[in-house]
Amino acid sequence: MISAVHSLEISNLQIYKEEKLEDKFKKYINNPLFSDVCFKVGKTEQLIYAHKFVLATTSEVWAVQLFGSFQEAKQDSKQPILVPDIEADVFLSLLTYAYTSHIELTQENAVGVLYASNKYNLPSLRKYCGEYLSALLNAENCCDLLQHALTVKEESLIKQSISCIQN
Amino acid sequence: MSRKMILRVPKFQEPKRMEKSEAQRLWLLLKDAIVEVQHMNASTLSFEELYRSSYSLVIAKRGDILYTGLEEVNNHHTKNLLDKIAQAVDERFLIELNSQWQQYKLQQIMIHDILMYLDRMYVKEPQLKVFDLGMFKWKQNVLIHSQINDRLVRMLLGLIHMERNGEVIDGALMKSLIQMYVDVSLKEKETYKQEFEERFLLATSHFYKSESNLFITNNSCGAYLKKVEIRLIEEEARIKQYLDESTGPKLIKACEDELIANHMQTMIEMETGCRTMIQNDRFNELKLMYRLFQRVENGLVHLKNEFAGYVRNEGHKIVNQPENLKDPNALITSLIEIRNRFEKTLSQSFANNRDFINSVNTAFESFLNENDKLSESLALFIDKKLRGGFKDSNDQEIDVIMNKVILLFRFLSDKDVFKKFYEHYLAKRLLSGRSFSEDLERTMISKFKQECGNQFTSKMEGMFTDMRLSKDALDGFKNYLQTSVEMGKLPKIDMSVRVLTQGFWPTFPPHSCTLPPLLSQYCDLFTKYYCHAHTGRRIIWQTNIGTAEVTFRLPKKTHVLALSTYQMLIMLLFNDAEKLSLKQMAAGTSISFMDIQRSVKPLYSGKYKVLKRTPAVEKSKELSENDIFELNLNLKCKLHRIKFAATSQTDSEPERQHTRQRVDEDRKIEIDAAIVRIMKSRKALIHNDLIVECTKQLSSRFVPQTSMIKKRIENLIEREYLERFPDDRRRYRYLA
Repeated sequence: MISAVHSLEISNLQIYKEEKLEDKFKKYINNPLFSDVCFKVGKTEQLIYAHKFVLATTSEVWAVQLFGSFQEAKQDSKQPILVPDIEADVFLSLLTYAYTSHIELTQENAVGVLYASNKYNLPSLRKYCGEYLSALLNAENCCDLLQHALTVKEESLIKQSISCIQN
Repeated sequence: MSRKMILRVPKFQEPKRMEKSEAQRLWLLLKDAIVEVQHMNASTLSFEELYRSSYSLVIAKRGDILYTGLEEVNNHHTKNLLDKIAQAVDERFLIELNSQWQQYKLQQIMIHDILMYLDRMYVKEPQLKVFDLGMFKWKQNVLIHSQINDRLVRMLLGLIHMERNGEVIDGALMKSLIQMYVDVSLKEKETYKQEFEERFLLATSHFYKSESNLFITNNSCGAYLKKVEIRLIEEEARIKQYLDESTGPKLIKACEDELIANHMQTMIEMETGCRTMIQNDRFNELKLMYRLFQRVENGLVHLKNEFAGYVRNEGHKIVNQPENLKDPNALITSLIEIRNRFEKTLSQSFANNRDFINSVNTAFESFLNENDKLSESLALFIDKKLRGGFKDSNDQEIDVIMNKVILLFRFLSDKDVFKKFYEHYLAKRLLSGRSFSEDLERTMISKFKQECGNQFTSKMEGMFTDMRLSKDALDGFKNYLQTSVEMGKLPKIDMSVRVLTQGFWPTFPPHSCTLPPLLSQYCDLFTKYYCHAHTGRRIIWQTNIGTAEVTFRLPKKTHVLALSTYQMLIMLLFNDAEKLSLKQMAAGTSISFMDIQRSVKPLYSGKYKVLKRTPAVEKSKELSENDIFELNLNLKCKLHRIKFAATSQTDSEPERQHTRQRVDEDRKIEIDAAIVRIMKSRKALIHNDLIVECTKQLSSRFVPQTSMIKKRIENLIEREYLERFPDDRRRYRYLA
């Protein structure tokens, strides 16, 4: 039964050869189709689907987690991995980055993405978050932002927030 | 104007400072996990949780708890392992050690995985990275522990020894254990080098020292060489199989030292060694020897010197062999043979190594110039070939022989002597019409030209031109005779003349003789004709190198005798006399007594005797002035035409002397020219420098003797080309 549904879904897939890789992969963000791993994310424990291959090619942490010698690599793909330290919207943004190399930062998710990019060792994303947040620095938020910057050791954001405080 | 956005930074989700208790909780969680990993239970652990915990500790600046904790756990673990491993007995020891090591390495990779963030953000020099810390603890507590290290190395070396003796050992186990020394080395493989490599190399030298000494005393050199090659191949394989590649060059060097360098002298001198191999043309063994000697310092020098020495010795024997001294043909043939033989050795065994070729050439140069026979012998050899010796060879074979001749020629230091002899024999070939093929003559000459330039062959080429022009002149003369008025009065004889340009041809010693009137008249006619056609030229008749045909009428039979001009003159005397003494012959022909002797000899002592000595005496007896000859009317010969040699084939000693003298004359001129050339460009020069420069300039043609150069300098001073400096007698000045 299940395999029949799957083949139906597969046959309904519109596959364009000219499609860009990012457009092609975009459809699979949080898509159970072909998914071989899932997460329960944040305080809300939202179930999010993903694909090991995409994650492993994005971050070495995921690579070791999903293909190493530990439980996650061996367990059933339907058993979710608990990720309590990252909220669902941030995790989804992270997946967008992993699948398409693009990310849309907002005032709401930027700090979360900064934390996540550090955790999964994605230096260029972390740098991008730093730049994004630097542009938003003001007297009110500079102390908090400095805290975050120090936690993840994002040098340029540290410098910018310090100079903001000194002014 | 300000549309600046206001950012509301959300509050920290986690507490800003991690409580000590929370940190402790996380560490204990991680510690338990590490212990689980050490029990190979990683698959029950959630990586996400462990990674998150270590990550949290590090960003909360509690990395120190983690790092020191890890150190302790590793310390404890390795100490436990040590006891376990040390208890293993005999061969179990290696297996236990290896299996623990393999597991330990895997565990360290997993621990590193969990603590990835610690590694990246916390660990700073000189702290060791997480994985290196694990390696270091293993080295400290297990590998270099007194219960392990010595035992391990001894067992490893024991196994290698067994393998060298032909037993089969577990290569994979060896590789893993030896690689362990490399893995626990923090930098530049220092543990591997200190603890293992050094002792391994020592054991290797020791093993091969005793093996090679024993083997070489009980086996032939060839067998030993093969053994060495096999050993070297085995060691190369050993490096690939289980040693670290950095050991490769050192191992091979140690083997080469023991197996090759230490035995080179023996391999050369031993009864079955290098000398015997060269003697017996054992190309393959020599090739192997070359290949092996090549590997060690100065190895090829030994081999090369030995070979060159042999070549010189063989050459020396050939050029001094009494039979060869008598027979130029045999001499040159044997020289070409050994040259071929050594060239084969060079190409088959010594990879045509430049140095080897050069030293063989130097050897040839030295023995070829050991005596002054060679120039003439070589010229005679070619003479024989060009007189018909090439008849049975094809173009290619001829070319090969000619090239060998050139090769030998190249080694001669007195090329001018050779040139004189060559010209001499060429002249004889051309004048007596004995040259086999003009094409071959020209090919040979063109090879000399290529080797030495135009100057060397200009005279030889001039001879060929003369031959052609003579033919034209003779045709012209015959036409002239038919139209000439005087012709009617004279009986017809067939006379052929060759006009030789003086200078192109060797100067033949001038001899005079009285020609019969008829012939004399013809000669005058030719002189008249020729000088008329070429005004300003002078003709000198060289009757001594001419030939003639004479009809010899016997009572029953008539023969035609092919004779030299002198022999003809002698025979003609018998038209008017029955018996003649040599003295009478000389008087009747005005030929010198010595030439009479030489001309008469073939007439009475050859196969067909037209003269007989009366009374008959023993053949061998020297001729004297008063010996009397008469015609041999009982001559029995089926041939109509009988040919007689003018004199003996090879030149007589006086003639040879004459050639030598001419070479010396020419040398004087060459040396004069060289001195003047040098002084003209240098203006002033010290005596020694002038000698050196002069010798250098002339070396392509001959090696001048210093005494001769000195004499020429004196001569040039007398002739006022040079003068000595008044204040420094050793310096000369050029006088323009």
